[in-house]
Amino acid sequence: MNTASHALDHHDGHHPTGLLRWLTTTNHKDIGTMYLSFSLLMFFVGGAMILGVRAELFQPGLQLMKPEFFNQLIGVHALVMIFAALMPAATGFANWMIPLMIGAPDMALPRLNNWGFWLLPPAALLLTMPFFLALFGIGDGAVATGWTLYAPLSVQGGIGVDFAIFSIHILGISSIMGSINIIATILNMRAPGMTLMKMPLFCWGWLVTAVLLIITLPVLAGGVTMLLTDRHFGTHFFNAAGGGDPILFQHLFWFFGHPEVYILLLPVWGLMPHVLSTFTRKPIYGHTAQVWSFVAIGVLGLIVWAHHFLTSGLPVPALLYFMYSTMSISLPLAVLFFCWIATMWRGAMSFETPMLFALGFIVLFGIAGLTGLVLADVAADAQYHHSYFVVAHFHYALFAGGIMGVMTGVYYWLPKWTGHMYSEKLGKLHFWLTVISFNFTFMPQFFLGLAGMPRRIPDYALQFAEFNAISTVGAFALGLSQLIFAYNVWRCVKGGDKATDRVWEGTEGLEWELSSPPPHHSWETQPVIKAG
Amino acid sequence: MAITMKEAAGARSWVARPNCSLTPILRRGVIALILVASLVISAAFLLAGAWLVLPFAGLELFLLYLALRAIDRRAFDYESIQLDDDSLIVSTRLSSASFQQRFHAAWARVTLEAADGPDPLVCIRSHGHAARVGRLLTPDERRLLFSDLSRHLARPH
Repeated sequence: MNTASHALDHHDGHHPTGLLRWLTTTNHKDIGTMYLSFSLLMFFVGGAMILGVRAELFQPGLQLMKPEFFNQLIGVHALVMIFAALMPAATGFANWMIPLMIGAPDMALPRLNNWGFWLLPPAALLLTMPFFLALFGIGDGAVATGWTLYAPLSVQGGIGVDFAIFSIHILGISSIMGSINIIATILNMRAPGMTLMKMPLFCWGWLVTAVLLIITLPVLAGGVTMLLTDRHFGTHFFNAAGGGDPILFQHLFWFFGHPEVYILLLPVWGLMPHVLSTFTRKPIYGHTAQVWSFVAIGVLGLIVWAHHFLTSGLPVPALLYFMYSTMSISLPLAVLFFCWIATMWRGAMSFETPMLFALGFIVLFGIAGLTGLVLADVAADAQYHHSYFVVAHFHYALFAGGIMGVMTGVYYWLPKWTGHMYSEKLGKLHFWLTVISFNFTFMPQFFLGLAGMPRRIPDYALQFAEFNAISTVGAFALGLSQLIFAYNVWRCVKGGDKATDRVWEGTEGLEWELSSPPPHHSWETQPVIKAG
Repeated sequence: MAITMKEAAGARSWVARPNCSLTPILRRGVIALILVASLVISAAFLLAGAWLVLPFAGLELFLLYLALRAIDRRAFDYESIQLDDDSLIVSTRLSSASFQQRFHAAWARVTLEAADGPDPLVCIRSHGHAARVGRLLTPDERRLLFSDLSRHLARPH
């Protein structure tokens, strides 16, 4: 690669400062920072909600809250974590890193980028506002249907459902703006010589993610709009008494909802090879195979949605189709796992915090994959559906796969973003506490599910008490461990040892050619990627 | 963005173009792929009674089209300066609007407007007319172009 040297050049004097800077910025790094900060804030908001739930579940019986409020906490926790914590974190990564990785000065559509971010805070406010309105006697609280908003429960719900519908619309618009921008940036702004197959895997992961979002979001938007018209305008899309079909809503929701899992995970899968390659000091194994695995997972992810409601009375041929198609996703996913392991094979490994999180991700996400195969089986799913087994499975996927993946990325890129090294000691403490407490929280939930405990209930039979108590203690330890993460990030932003431009010994890629932190305009001189 | 300078038979030219890695074929391919996928999905839900998916898909595809069209409009932008013994011709195409100005090489003077600011522009003047170039260049590249152009204009024609 032929790159020019880029000295740190802030141009601070020529840009708005203070609040105005953040309101009006079109700089990809500023917007990336806003996405990540917002994500961290909402991660704690969503986390606090579920600690309330776990506190209630510490013992059988109702101790702390009414069942309605319990249901609201569960539903809003999921919506906040998925739409306001994980997705913005991945978008923050995209904003920060894609231009740096492909040699572009900024995102292709910077104003759209600014609007995309500023839609998020009002959407999050809409989602959580019914909690506060209920305090003043307005409405009956937030959406209490779970994040799936299944009809007919959601048709009959209170104003929290309306707030959730509008919030989902706004979050969807924000995601569409982000996706269009990412597609335009990746396709149009790659440095000369950077062909699509030479593009970093993180960008590939995001390209597939953005296409998936564009294809699936209209389905969710249509579904929740139909729900809104059923609630207020006399339509009967999902009302069986009026000739509608409640199962249609499940099809609409999961046609978006299942690809959403890959939308949350593909950016992380794209990041992993870079981290593994850096800390094993070896090139990425199977770049092309991983690219095609991303594409295959994206395509297969669009045609397996109904495995989320195998117990709802689908015809047998449909059950067989969705079972086998869901299982087939394990093939490209296995290719990814194989490539990750092969990248590490006989490498000169070192175990800095990002590498620890990457390894934790591989092991724990592997458990999510294997338990997913169990749930894809129609016969087994008949027993485990709507049990705590499912809750444990998707938290191994979305916490260990998604959030720990995001933490891998934060520790990996934080020195590049801030110009300072974070505390390795605190990072490792955070990792070990997170992994141990995570398993204490969610491993017992597999056993609870196997023993037959249903999900989304505030009270349970006495036989489930011990595992629930362990899970609650684990959840509080997990929540408190994340304060170390927040403190470490804050400490790193404020100062610390100076990071070098390359930061890590084994790094490769355009982004490491820039200074740490990168200049205000990322690539003032176009890098050129040479053949080979 | 990149500027290329060519010199042949006493004439010199500087051409600046934005970097666009998206070819028209790839652009059409991307739109076609997403269009087909979205329409197939929307049609399937339409047949299942969920007709409200279709307008959302249409709206979204329209936005994608507008974004790629905005990029397309900029893909063919350029700023060009051609200098020979007699004339200096400045040609620009920015957002589909094309301009061309001709100056006498012996009389043309080049300055760097707002030289100390963050956004300097190369200005070529003669006989009450002026052309500003450098919008497709970074500030450092504009300064380089200015010094290069000044050096060549200072030579006897």
